[in-house]
Amino acid sequence: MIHRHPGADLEKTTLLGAVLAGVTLLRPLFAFKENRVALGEPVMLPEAGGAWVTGAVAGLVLAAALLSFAPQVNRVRWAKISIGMLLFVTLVITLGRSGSQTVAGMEFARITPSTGFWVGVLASFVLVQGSLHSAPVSNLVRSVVGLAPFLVVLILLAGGMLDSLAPVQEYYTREARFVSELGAHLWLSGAAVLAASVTGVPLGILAYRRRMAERPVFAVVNGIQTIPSLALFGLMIAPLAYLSREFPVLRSLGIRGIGNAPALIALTLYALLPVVRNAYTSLAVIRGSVIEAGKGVGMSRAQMLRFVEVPIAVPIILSGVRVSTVQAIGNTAVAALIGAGGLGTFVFQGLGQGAPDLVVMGVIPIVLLSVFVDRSLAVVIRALTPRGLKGAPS
Amino acid sequence: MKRIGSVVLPALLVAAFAVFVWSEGVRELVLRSMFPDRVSYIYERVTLARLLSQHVALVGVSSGLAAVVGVTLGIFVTRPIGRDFHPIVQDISSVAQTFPPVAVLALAVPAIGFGFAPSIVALFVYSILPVINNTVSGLDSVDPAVIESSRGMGMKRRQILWLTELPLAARVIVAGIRTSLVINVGTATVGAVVGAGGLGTVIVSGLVRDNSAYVFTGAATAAFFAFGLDFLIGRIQNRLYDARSD
Repeated sequence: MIHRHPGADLEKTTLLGAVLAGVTLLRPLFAFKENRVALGEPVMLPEAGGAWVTGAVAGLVLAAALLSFAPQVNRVRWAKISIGMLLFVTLVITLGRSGSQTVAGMEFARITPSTGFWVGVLASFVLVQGSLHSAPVSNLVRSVVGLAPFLVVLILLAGGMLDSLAPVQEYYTREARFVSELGAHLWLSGAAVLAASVTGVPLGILAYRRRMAERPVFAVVNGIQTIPSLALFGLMIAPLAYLSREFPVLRSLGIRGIGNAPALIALTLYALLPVVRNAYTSLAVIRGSVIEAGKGVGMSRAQMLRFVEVPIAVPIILSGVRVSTVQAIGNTAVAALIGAGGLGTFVFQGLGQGAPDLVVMGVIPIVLLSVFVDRSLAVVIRALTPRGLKGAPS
Repeated sequence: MKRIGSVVLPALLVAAFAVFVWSEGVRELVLRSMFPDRVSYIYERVTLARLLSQHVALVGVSSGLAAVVGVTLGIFVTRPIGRDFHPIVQDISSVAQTFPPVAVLALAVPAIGFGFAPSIVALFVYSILPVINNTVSGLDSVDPAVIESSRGMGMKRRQILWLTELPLAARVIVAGIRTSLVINVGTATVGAVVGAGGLGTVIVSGLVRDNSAYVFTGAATAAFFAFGLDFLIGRIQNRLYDARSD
């Protein structure tokens, strides 16, 4: 590795951010639509924000471009982070303000963010993350900076400032339905992960303890993962319809070929692999390293379990649960196709009606849910990991 | 005995699969025995073989592009010229990998529209992530001492990349491509609802018309295709492993 003076040359990430931010000025910020199915009319940033906002964004672009040649010291890093944040806030507020002015007085009118806006968001991400990465700050600061944009959007949403946005309007027309589908989504993915954890951990232990079981267990759980989700859902339908026909008890429990039962079974099967694999790994890690040390210091069997085995195994198994959960949230979206409900309902409704705004309205909460669950579980896992086992902070 | 497991059995399964896909008579016979009293067994709008070839094209083009572009990008950010982008590329790909693939596919519709080509773009965008990730971590994990000794042997930068780094990282890179393929085979199935065609078309049509024979046709074919592809890459991976341990 060659050590150069910090910032001796151009910081390319910042320059990329500046170029992307520049694109915001050249591409439409949003599209104005008279109604749900109308074609959009593009509106550029100067038209939407007026001279002041355009000047401000141009200033941010210029500042970022200049700072990409500045030495990478902390003050410069924070300047770039602030530029990224300001860019984001300016774009979102301009979108909301100009949007409500544009649609004012028109009942079905709405706006949809366009390329200019999305590229601007990417520019802001690049500017902020590119500098945050090398900044010597704690994980807490990192999380706060990472959460800030979401908070900004939430506050604006709560204040009704983003009401002109088409996905927000789609939400308002089906608020009650949204809450119940969100509930169904959480219930389905949560129950599947719970069922997979309850069965997967013993399976992992079995695979580790009995050499005979290892290969078949992994062949099956690996194999399930390769089956396309829609195909697995489809394959559940016929046998469940048959069982429901033959056994009235099951039918009275609500088990049918379509709906919750096949979705839950398929989702559980999918969620198995990460849990089984990590339960297996956790045993291998325990066996491999510390058991001798524990015996050496004279721990009893119970003490070993309490102070050595469980603290090592729990974070590893939870990491598997984390992967399973994120996957299950995505797969549950597909389950809407076999009538299981959940947020996928809106996505597929939107696709069926040719209403892209409804698609976006369904997709955004699914994406946010996955990212949120992933990050929160990461925090929990980090907190539960014994200090001696922590690697580099992630 | 070993050959029966590794050659004869797969060959027989592939043959049975081919007959199921190409011979409508045989398929109807199979489906009739499994699902008595259905009005129709054979999806009449498009042949199953055509749907399978659409599926292969969807996955092949998107994963092929993802492999080429992803490995190139991964190499780029581990070279001195692209080092600056290393953290940001890793950030973006680790955040974006928590997005459900179906979400990316669905977002292609508002962004670029319905149909085959937009779906390929969506599949490509999502499936490039594991390829980049694995290429970067594979190249990063090459022992600096090995690179140093390659340099000591008088190898040029390009030679070090092709003869030392890439072969050592190959297994991890291929694992990334495998992940990308498995994701794409699965997501392409859902592509039917965004007008991409492929095997999901029969499944969705079966769900809409409440015909489990259709659903089974599509699901079984897609599942077999996914298995087969995964099996094949597993073989390639093992071969790479054997080559290394020589």
